[in-house]
Amino acid sequence: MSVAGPVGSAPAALGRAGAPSRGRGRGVRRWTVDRISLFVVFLGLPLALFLVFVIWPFLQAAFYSLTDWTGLEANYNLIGVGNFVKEFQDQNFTIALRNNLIFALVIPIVTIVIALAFASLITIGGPSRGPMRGIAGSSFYRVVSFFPYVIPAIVIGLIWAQIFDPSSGLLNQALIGLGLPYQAFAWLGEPAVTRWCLMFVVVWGFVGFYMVLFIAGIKGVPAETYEAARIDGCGRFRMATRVTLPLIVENVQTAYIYLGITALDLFVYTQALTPNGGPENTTLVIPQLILRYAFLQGQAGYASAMGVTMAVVTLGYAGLVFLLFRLIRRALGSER
Amino acid sequence: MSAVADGRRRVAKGDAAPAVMSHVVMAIWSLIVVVPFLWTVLSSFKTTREIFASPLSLPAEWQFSNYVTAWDDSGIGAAFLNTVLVVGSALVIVMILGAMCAYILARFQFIGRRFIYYLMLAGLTFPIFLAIVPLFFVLRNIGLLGQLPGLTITYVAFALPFTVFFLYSFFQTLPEEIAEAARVDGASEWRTFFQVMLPMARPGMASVAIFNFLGLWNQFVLPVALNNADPNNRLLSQVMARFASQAGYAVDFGALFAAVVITVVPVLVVYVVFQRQLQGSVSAGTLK
Amino acid sequence: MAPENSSLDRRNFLRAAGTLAVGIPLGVTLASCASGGTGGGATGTKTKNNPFGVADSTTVDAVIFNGGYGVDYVSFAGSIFAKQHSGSKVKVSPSTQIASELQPRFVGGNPPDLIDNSGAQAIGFNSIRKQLEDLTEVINADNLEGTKIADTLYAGVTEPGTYDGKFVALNYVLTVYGVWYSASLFEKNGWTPPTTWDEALELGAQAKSAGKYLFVWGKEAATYYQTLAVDSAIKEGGQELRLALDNLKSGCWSQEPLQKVFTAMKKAIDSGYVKPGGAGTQFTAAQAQWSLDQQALLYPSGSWIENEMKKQTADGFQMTGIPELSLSDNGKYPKTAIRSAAGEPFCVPSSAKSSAGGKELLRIMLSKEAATNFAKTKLAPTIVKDTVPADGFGSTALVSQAKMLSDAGKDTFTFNFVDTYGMNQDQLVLWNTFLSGGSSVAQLTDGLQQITDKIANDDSIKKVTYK
Repeated sequence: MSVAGPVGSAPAALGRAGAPSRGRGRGVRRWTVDRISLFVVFLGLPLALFLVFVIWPFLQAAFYSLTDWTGLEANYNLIGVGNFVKEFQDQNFTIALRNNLIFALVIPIVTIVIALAFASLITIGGPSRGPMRGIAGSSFYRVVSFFPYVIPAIVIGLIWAQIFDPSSGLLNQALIGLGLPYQAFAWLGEPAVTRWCLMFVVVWGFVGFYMVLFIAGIKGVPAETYEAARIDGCGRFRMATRVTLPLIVENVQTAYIYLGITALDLFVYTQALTPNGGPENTTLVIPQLILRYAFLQGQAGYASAMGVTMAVVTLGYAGLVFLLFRLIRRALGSER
Repeated sequence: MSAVADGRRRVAKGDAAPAVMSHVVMAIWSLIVVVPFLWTVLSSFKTTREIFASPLSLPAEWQFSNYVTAWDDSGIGAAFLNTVLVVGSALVIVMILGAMCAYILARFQFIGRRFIYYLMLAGLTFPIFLAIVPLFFVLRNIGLLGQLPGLTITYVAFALPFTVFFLYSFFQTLPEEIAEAARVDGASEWRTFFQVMLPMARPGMASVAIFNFLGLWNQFVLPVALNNADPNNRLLSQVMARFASQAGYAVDFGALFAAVVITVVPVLVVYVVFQRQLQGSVSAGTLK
Repeated sequence: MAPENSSLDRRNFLRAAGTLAVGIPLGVTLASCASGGTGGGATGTKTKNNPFGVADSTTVDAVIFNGGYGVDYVSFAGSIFAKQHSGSKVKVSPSTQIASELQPRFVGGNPPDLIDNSGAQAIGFNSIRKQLEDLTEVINADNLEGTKIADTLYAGVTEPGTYDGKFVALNYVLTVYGVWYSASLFEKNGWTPPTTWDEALELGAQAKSAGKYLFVWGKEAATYYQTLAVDSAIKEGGQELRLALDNLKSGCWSQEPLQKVFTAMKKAIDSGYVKPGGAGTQFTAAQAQWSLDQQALLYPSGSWIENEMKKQTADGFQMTGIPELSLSDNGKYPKTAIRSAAGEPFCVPSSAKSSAGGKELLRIMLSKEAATNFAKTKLAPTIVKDTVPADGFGSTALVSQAKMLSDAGKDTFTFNFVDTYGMNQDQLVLWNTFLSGGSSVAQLTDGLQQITDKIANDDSIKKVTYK
């Protein structure tokens, strides 16, 4: 079958999720053996797996968050919401939460803007006459940009940790080569820059993937749409913002949520780049604290409370993104 | 870009500038992507002393022994196979189960449908760290702790919410008429799904699979905590983390770089060879 | 729901549903798991050659921290073990992530038989000490050569592993803390190793004019300078100062000797005697800047440093240690006093499959044969006396350690609070900032005091009283 614009279409469906479901009417049909077996296998199997391996462990963890369990002994006492109170008096926690939120705000936006820009350059940067075309060599750029995607995050972290080394790292050596005084600049040791270095690495790892995703989305847009826009006198920038963006807004939403959830974690990257939380704890993230409290300091109950808080935050984040994009779609929809 | 359509010459002229700009921007980005890899490869052939003393120069003598050390000390080879096995089978299973679950949720009306959907949605946001100790016991109780099938099932379960979440909306958009036609032809519910609905969902499946691959391939916390009983069962990210901290303690940066190269190169080769197919399944392949 | 899957954990699920409803602790599942194995599995007959009654064909499961000393010294003891007990063997698993790998095993009641709980990811002993065997039995047994082990050890080595009277961790390696330098480099430049902070600052000026630094640091090891500071202060202020810190007294970081050391350090930092950029440098890379590139003159560390940097030390470096710096000539301890403490804590969990096997492996490690092997291959002494010959197996560092130990005589001390309460992570942040020149002495003091106070005021953390 044709694989035209599949990525574009899957998340595109999201936008229509709010529309009346076409499946609804089928509920009235009779329960046959065929149907029951379908339900048992199709719904039962995945759901059982999900309940046993995801929900049940989290219910347990939620319970532990109300105890003083050390994580290493069998006994504990129920202490109510004490851990949650402690959380917000704990500077480490508030700093880490703030860091995670900063990451969740910045990383998705930056990644998506860059990826969109690149995707536009590649797809509609070509000649403005004749059929819509990308720039020459676009497939080369696509292949290269996609590289980081196939490398495990831990390895990406290891590579960049070496690059940022003040004395023997590639970055400072290159800057010194350009005649700049970067003999001992600690990219991962200066509170003012470390957070940005970390975010750069994450963005570096993700841009190529989202670029390819958006290219697919853009190519899913019928050529006539662009043709019409061009005849209407649209320049390239207007074309990107007024024609492309509205049409792939669902892709962007998917990307936003996925990146946001990643940014609210970032454990692997921080473990490789700034395992101690970075200078002045500027890159400390909640999962690092969970590891520290649950495994190293014997406060598993407290760590569970942090995890529960993070789950709530992530849920809230996803909800906000949905709301935001609903508004955006409405705004774009009225423009179209 | 303010090139207006009515000035023919200006439009033609205006073509060159954006193209050049595009090339410049993309070329710079390509460098930012490629140079770290090249530097890693270069460093992997140097002694640790050279890495510290002259980070940019070529090695005085090409140290292939770094690769021997990295290979022998880390167990990358077995870990690679384990990772492919676990991620590959988890991916297949989660796509099938996810599609089935999403199909039921999207196209049938029954009590508890919304509840299940939102439960899945909530599962998407749980931090994995939280579940580790309880998961440990679930796996132990069913006797799969520290074994690859156990890890695979866990991977499937944790990738399920995302899969269902996105395939759900996809199945909702599929036209009812075709399924109806199949049913009129006397096809069973099962046949309708596998022979009509699933093929129509293939584009959506492809994109979700690619997302899932990323998540599973990068998974770090689950294997570290649940899969350390048998060194032969380790996955790539585990092995790399272990080796990195061991190489750090033993101050063997040459071997560390070599290990990175060993991890990256096979994947890159596979990617470059199959990139057409991959891009194909991600993109239209019509506009060149 | 598919019945075959839901039944997997249905019992637990029902239990959970019930307990959640009535609010009774739901971890019964955990409790029943964890209380499972007590007393260490099958035992054989206890004899003189088998004091803990290791059964035949036992496989001892040892998880060993794979750090500066590697794990082969345990494998060495393991091969002796295999010879001593027919059909038995020792499985040594190297690990650098002790806590995350072992925590579930502790809760699950199947911990390994022997653990070297060391490194950045060690489990805080405070939280597992109740689940560990008392190892007094081990040092009261005879070693392989037929001497009672307790009589072969340096004095006081059981102290750091004893918590409220229970000896749960046997620290195997004798670590001498000092300041390390290259004797050949100093000789060539006509420098004298400092004994006080004033002398160190003078040396710093000389180093600067020679285009070098006095100190260098790495991000994971910034607290080596805290160790140096606290030790210097203890030499000035004595046990009183040490106990205030160990017992988490309020205002303990404001004690005068500590403040004086911090001030001296601040002076060194502000004068540019400390190589900048350490906060972004991996610690082993930073150490190589001292041992290989020789950009810095001094490095404060434990005696593991020689072995750790073995491959990355310049030829003819002649690594030598001196006691940590004093503040004045009239401190409570003489200038020759050193901090010496046994390190690499080995412990045997009570619920291990073969805790007898774990103890037996420790007994073998404490034999003259195994201890001498360690000293020889790792160039560091164990807690077993008289295993290092006069030539230190050709190592200048080892010779200097022996000299420091004999010069110090009875004037040795140590402190515990950092490890006991797992404070290092939080303190690292402060020290990286301070060494980068980003904070004042007052800010450093405030931060350190806050960390201490937070633990002191947290009732959920069990305290150890030091005397």
